[in-house]
Amino acid sequence: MSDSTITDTNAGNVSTPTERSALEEVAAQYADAIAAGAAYREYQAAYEALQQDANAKALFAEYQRRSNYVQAAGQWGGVREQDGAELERLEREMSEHSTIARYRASQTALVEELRELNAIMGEELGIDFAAMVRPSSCGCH
Amino acid sequence: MEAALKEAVNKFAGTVREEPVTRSFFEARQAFESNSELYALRLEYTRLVHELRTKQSEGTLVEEDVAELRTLEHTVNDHEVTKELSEAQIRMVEVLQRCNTVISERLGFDYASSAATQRSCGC
Repeated sequence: MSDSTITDTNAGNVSTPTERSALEEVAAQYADAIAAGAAYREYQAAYEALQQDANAKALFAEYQRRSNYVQAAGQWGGVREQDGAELERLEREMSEHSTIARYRASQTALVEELRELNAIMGEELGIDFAAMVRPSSCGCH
Repeated sequence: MEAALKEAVNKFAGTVREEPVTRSFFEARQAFESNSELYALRLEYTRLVHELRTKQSEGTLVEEDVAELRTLEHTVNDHEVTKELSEAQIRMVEVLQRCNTVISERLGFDYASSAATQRSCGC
């Protein structure tokens, strides 16, 4: 994941309610508050707009494919000059595409908000909640 | 930031703080940080790491140096107070991960991965 992107963008799904602890209920209320906020609503709208725009979707997919290839090739030193140039061209095209630009801007704004919220939690708790529970946590101590 | 959002995060943080697993973790961390024996061992570990780096850059590092560091590492990790901290953290993280799952299911992406700013574990 890059610095301001969100992975697994199946935005806004609500799972079937299962039995939750009191803490999990409060966590659900917290999630609801995020989902009701302007940043999340704009992100969701931009995501839906992206899904409706076949041209944007194709461009986005092509960029991700090319980007993954360049990243993988970079690990064994196999990036050719034309690969980098092609990636730059796709990047330019994406930045000029209004649907994609909106989607990316909404992602950046939402990630900033989530990081700000996590910082507030950190101040309150004295631990970094997100860093501690995310899937790649180091598990030290 | 919207007032409702700030209120929600404060409530969530406050509820997490009052959870028995969180209280246990903070008690275990306090015990770890205030244990004079462990403090001395950790100081020695830091000194040794620095010394080994210097030796490495000078090309004088030998196997015995690395073994000494490993032994010290094991002494810290096998200490009862360290073990209690590890276990308390595991229990707390399990509870917090379930919260993350609840939040992530609602939002449609992994909340913690998006909200984290640093690469380290944050403990």
